[in-house]
Amino acid sequence: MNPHHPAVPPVGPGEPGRPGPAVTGPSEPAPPAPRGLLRVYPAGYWQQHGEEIAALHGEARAEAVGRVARARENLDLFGHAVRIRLGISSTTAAGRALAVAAPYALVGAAASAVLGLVPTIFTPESRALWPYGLVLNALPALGLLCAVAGRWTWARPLALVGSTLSLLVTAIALGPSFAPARIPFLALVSLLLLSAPPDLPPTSRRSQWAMLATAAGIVLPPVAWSLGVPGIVPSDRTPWPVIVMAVVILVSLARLRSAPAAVAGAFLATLPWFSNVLAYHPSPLLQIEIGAYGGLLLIAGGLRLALGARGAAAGPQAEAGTGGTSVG
Amino acid sequence: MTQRALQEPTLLMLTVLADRPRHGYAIVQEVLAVSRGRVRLRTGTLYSALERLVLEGLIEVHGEETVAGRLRRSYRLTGQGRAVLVEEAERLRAAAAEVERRLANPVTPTWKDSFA
Repeated sequence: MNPHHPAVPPVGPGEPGRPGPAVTGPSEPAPPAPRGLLRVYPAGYWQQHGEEIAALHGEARAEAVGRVARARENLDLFGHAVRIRLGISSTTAAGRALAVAAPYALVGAAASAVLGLVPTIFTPESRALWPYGLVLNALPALGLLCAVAGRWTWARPLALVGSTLSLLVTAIALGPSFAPARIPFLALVSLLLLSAPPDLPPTSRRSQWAMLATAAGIVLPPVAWSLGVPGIVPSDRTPWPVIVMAVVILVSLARLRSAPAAVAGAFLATLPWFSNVLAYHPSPLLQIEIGAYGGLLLIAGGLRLALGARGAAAGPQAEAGTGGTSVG
Repeated sequence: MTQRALQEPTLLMLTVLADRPRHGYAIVQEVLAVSRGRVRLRTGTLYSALERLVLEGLIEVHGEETVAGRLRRSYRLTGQGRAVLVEEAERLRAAAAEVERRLANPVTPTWKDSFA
C-alpha cells in the first residue's frame, strides 16, 4: 500500500454482508521502473502512483485489440505523464483552466476555418488553398459540430488535423510568398486543444450552447458585414473575435458560481485571437489590444475579489466543481 | 445544496461505484457497459479522473489486492459522493419527467397562439 496516496488509507475488507477485495499488508513491492514513454512521469510521482498506473496500463494493454488500440492506450498514458510533469492534470487549477479553454480553442479553429470558406471573405490563403481548402477548412468545422453533439474525442483530432493540414498546404501552395503570421494562432489553438485534461470534456449542455453561441458571434457579423458593406473585407484577423471573447470572459465573471479556473480558461482562450491580430496588425492595434487585455484582467481581478465573499457563501461545492467544470 | 450538472465521465464513474467498490480496470469495463460502448476510459484519463475525484472527496480508496503480480486498488463512493450522485439522479429524473410530460401532451398550435 502506498502511504502517500491522496486518499484516505484503505479500511477493512468490504461492507457488512458484502465481500470486499482482499487487503494486502503495507509491504507492497516498489513500483516497476518506468520504461519507454513512462519515463516522462516525474520520479516522485511514479514512486507514489507508478505501481497502480503500471497495473492499470498492463490490464488495458492486455485487453486492447490491435495495434491502433494499443497505440491509443500508450498515447493517452503519455499525455497523462506530460500533464503531470507540467502540472496541468485535472487535479490542478491550471488543468481545469485548460479544460475550460479547450472548447473555445476549438471554436477558434472552426470559426477561422468557416470564415475561410465564405467567398466574400476570401483571404490570400483561401485562394491558395482552393479547392482543397473546402475539405481542409471543413474538418475543423466538422470538429465543432462533433463537439456540440457531445463527441469531444472526435472533435479534437478533427480540428487539429484540419488546422495543421491547411497550414502545411497553404505554405506549400504559396511558396516564398507564404506569410507565417498564421502560425502563432494555430500553434496556440493546437496547444490549448492538446493540453486540456481528457477527463474533463465539455460535454454539458451549457458547454455546447456556449460553443455554438461563441462560434456564431465570431462568424456571423463578419459574414453579414462582408455581404452588406462593399469595399470592406472583414476576416478572422480583425479585433472582432477578441471582442467576442471579451464578452465570454465577462459572462463567465458575471456567473456567481464560476470557478476562478473558468475565468482563467476564458482568458487563455482569448490568446490565439489576440496573437492573430498582433501578427497581422502589429501597430497601432498593439497598444490598444494590450491595454484592453490588461483592462479586462483588472476588471476580472476586481470582480473576483468583490464576488469572493458571495461565492464562498454559495458553498464549497460551487468552487470544487465536482467534475462540472464548464465553459461560459 | 445545488451543484452543477456532473460531466458524463464523472457521472458514469460515480454510477458504477454506487453499488459496490471496484478496482480501476473494473471501472473501465463497467463504464463501457453502462454507456453502451460509447465511453471508453483509457488508463491516463481514468487515473487522472480517479485522482481528481479522490481529492474532491467524492470517492476513496477501499482496499488493495495483488492479482497475478499486479496491484489492484479498489475505490468506493464516500458519503459526499453518494449525496452528489443522489442529487444528480434527482435532477435527471426531473428532466426526464418533464420530457415525458410534454411528449405525452402535445399541443397543436392555432394561428392565434402565434400572436399570443
